Amino acid sequence: MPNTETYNDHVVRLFLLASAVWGIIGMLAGMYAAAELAWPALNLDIPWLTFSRLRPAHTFGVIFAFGGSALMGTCYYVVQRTGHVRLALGKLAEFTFWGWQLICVLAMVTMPLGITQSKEYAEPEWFIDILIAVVWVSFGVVFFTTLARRRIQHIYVANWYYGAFIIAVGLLHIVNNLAIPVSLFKSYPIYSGVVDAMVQWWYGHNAVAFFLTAGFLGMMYYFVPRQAQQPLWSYRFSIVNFWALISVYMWAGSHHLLYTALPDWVQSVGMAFSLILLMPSWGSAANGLLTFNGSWHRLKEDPAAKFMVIALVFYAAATFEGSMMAIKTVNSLSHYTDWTIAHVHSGSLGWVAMITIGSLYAMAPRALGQPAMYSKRGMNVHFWLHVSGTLVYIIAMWIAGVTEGLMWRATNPDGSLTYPFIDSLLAIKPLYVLRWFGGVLIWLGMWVMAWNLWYTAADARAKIIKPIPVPIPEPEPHQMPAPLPAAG
Amino acid sequence: MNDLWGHFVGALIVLMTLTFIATWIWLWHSGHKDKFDALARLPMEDDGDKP
Repeated sequence: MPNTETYNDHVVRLFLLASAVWGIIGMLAGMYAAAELAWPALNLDIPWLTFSRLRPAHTFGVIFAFGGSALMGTCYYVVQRTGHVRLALGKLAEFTFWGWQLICVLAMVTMPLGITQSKEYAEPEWFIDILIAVVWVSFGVVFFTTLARRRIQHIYVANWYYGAFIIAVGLLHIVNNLAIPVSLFKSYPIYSGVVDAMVQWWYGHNAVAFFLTAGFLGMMYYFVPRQAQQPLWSYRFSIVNFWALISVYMWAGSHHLLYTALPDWVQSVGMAFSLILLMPSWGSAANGLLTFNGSWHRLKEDPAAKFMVIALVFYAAATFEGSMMAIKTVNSLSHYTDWTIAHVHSGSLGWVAMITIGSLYAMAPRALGQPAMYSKRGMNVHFWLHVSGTLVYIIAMWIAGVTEGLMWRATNPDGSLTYPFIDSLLAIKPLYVLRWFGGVLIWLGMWVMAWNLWYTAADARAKIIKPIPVPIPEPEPHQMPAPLPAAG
Repeated sequence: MNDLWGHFVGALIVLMTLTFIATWIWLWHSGHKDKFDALARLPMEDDGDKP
């Protein structure tokens, strides 16, 4: 069929593979770092194995390598399906894959070697930051060019989220990483003092907003209706939530700096916007969950749908918790404790990882030319490993966090502290062991997914996959820009 | 915060509130119903893309 236009799923498959591999590597780093907190001797006195160097490797590995690869792969998949058009600029799209993998390798190697900007979630040094900017702009060019060539006039809501994710992350990355290099491996930010802290947390919180929320909501708005086999509960509501979310999120970053040298009114702005943020967050969670109305039976037979539903429950729970923790009085108890770690992992393992895994299981058979995943039992095993590991992890950290907060603020009648700091560490040590165990379960689940994907990809490995033809719809009246003719 | 800046911020809040309300009205305008209903079904078409 020389004149049939087909979807470009090759680059989607590459990102799918990368996501599975980075998930295992990133979570291995996290699991080892968690073990070091329970048994500090495990750093073996080797500098690159110390917690301080493994921790950024873990966060970069899971957020940008695992999550980033999944986001870029699903983005390329979704923009083609919702526009009924082949991915534009195929070679540039492939460049974004190899470029992103190079960035991930460089970051994961340099951070354990101590080459770091020491900015949370923005640790890589200047030369990697430049590479990130180049690849990110290329990613945007591929996405927006494909969008411009779409054959469906309206831009489906998932693409709005993916588009916001691409634009905002590019902006945040460039502004936060403006720095003066003093050598190949060292640079200093152009900001200083409290301004540096505010820029860093404007970036840090909006990395959560636009990387870990908007991008994954894009995934959710496509794969949830597809997996539920139900129309999106309210398309209108999804648009309201989109504009509300992106308008509000940008102002909430200062809640990371409550009780610091930041001006008090800036802290209050962050607190107020964090509370308002609950509305669009719950709006999207409700829209996703209600899409399953009339289709709840699918949870019995479809593990991918189970991942998605639990992800949405965790999204609602974690965003509620986040808004509450941004209230100054609550924050005075939670800040600097493991409650924050519980909250972050409720969001990242519960929401982000589960919507990603559910979406990958939904997308993989289609992208790999199979009717279904190789093993449904494997998917179920993964589901229970991931859910139980996540619950063990976050419950342990909740208890540890509240214990720390209460012990640190306890005072005697004469005003002295009731507990020496070491007592709080001893009190939470069993909970650190539990947290590590939860991490092990989650990591084992990632191996099960990789095994399942490997066998599902048998045809892809044998290079016998038939490309999927693009359905060419009838042009809509007065469509702007004019629809493309079917191309070979 | 000086007076001028206060007025500017106040006007901006009113403007954003009106924009938000206008967005709701625009979205719930009956003329968009068919289009939005079709879009809500768009992801389900993926099932037709059998290789």
